[in-house]
Amino acid sequence: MPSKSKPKLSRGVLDMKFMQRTKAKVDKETADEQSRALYSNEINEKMLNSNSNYIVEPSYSICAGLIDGRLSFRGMNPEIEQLMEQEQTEKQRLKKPEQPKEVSDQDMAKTYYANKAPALTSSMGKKFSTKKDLKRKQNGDSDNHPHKNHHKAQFRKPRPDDD
Amino acid sequence: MATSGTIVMPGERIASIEEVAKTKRVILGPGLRRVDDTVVASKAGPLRHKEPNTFWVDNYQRRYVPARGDLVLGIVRSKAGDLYRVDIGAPETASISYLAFESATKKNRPDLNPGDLIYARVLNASADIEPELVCVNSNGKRGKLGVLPDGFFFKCSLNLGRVLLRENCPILAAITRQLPYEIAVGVNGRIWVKAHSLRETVALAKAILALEQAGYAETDKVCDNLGDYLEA
Amino acid sequence: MFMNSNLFEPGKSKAEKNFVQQAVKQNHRLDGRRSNECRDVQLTFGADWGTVAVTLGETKVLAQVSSDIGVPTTARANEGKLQLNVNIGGVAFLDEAQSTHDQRFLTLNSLLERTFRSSRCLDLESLCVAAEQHVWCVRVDINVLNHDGNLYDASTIATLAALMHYRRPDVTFAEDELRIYTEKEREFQPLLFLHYPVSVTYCIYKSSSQPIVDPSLLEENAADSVIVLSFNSYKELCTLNAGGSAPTNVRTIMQCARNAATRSKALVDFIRKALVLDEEQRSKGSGQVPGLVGLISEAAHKMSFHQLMKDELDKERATTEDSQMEVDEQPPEQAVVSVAQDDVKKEKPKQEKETPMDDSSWLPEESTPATVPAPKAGKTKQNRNKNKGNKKQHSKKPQNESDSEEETKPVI
Repeated sequence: MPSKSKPKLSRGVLDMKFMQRTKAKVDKETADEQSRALYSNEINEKMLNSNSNYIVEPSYSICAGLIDGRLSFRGMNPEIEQLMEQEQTEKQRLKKPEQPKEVSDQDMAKTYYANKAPALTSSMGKKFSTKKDLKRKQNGDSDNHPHKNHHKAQFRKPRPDDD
Repeated sequence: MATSGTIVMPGERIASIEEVAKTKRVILGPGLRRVDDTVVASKAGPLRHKEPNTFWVDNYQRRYVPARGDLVLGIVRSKAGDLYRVDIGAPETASISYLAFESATKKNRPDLNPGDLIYARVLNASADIEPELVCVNSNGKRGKLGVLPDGFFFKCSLNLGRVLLRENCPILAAITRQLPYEIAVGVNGRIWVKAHSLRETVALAKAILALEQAGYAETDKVCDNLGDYLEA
Repeated sequence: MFMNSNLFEPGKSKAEKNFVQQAVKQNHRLDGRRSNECRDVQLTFGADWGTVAVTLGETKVLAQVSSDIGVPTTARANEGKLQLNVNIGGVAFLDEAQSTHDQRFLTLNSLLERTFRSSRCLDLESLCVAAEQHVWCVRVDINVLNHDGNLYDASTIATLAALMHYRRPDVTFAEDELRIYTEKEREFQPLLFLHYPVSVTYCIYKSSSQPIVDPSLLEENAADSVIVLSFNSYKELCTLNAGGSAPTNVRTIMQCARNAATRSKALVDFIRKALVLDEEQRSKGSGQVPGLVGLISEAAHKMSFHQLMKDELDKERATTEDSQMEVDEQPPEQAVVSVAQDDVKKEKPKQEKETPMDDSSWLPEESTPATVPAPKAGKTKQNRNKNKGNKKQHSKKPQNESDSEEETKPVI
């Protein structure tokens, strides 16, 4: 019996108000224990511990990637054709590789911080910064970003190879 | 869709899938079953594989077994309280709640009568409970689902339905060259077609049914015949 | 062959029904037939006597005849028994096929009962061995293998062909001892017939006044009413089964009846020819009969209606052509007919369809009711369009037909 090896809390203690959560936990444990005992001869070790790599999917349409079967061609049913078109554009958008970036992430970040970020973020950021932060910032700021003031935000001229 | 040419028989152990499953997760489609650590076929037919990790058996079958997410064509059989009973060719009739239609409320019920055709999605399918259908998508919109008026309706094998529904299927495109039409194909092997005239509709239905026995190679021939028939 | 077998019942949705109605209205059938064109009928004889499979398009029916010695009923002590057994369970795809009160099963059963038993087509007295003691009990098992419409005609053709094909052992009864001879001792004997009935089925739609013959299952399910007429080879009406909601009038039924009488006669002639052919094969081949294997083999079928009756159809067409000239048919129609001389299949029904209602020509030549027609008499070919029915029957028959739903008219 597990109760022998394990110290058990008395009913009186468990009934106390502050012990409610523990009580629920203990109840669940005993219920699990019971159900395990009930099905022990049907559930084997493998079923408990197997971490299967197989997913079962009974639908052909999902497996084979079948399209929706409601179709209209050459203006027979404009409503359906419109829906088909929408779907088509949606699909194309998903399929298309992302457009090459004109400004790289690094450049963007640099410019962003050089701009000292938009006004709102900085003002909202103040609200969450502690005094310590403020102090550290004031002290270390000049060390970390010595050229800060030299980088002025400016509009970049488009290069000829940009589209 | 890659098609491996191997034909599997029920009870056959398929080692090639087990091999793949050692390294990554594998999706087992219809006709395949996991027995402990082995994969066994439960239907006869060619084994199909879709990248990256989906396998299924494409067997010839005419009796539809409902599966969640399938789009099916059903015939309304009767009204039963809050439900309609719908025949979808499965061993059991499916049910659809009258609230499962666009802008339907308790007061504003959809007007469905026995004999009506509906195009619906299988919401629930399990061996022990009757399948449940819906005629709306998750946004409560009708989309392409709902009642199909007029037209002609016929039944075929489940395979033919699936052949027509493959992406970029050449058959539908080939028929489009001949005449404008509207079609609803259910994966339960039921097809509804509508063209401008009766004659065209009949020709369309015959052409599609002729493909039941034909291979992909004969598709063009059938479509040419269709063109000849309509011109005559 | 069975790849094409039906697995679902068509004609249960509104779309199909409306479509068929529309098609009929435009004089169009889904399988391209004319409204008065029948599908080909094929017979396959089994290795045993009295086993026949009938193929009518995709509809397939197997009839088997068996017999044993039994005790007669007290009411008819000197007559043998004929028992008809229909089994429709083989076509499980049909809705309600499993239920015991299937309407389809009941109608088929009653049609067969009335066509073969009530009309007394078998000479039951010849099946009596010893009055009040021993008679032959003939049993026909009709198994429906596939249903693609017009089960009625397929079943009646199968039953008739099986009964005509069947041979019973010879038997003697002397000194209270019954002796049944084997085939080696004494040759088996065919059953004796008084007449040979088969049925012809028509579908009538609300949208059109033109009935269509030999409906497919889709057409049958979409029909507003189905009329089944049984005629024997003397063109005498045996059974009329008309129900449904379509407004049928005397004219339509008369038109159906006239065509059905001709068709029935042709069918019986066809069965006779097929039996002769089968006899030849049996006597030629040394006991090796292909039997029902013919049903699934790909080889071209020999015993098909279109093949065996080609000459008759030609003749038939010629006579209808003559008669059409008599009743002064529209000239353009005539031109079409003469052009397509060889295409019997297509042209024949059209003519019949377009023939105006001529009540005097449809009525069969009635043999005097008192005398039992001898089976041999049917073999002389009658020219139906020359027949003139007498006026008395003329006025009587339509009355009977139109006011009662089911009518049985025994010929004897």
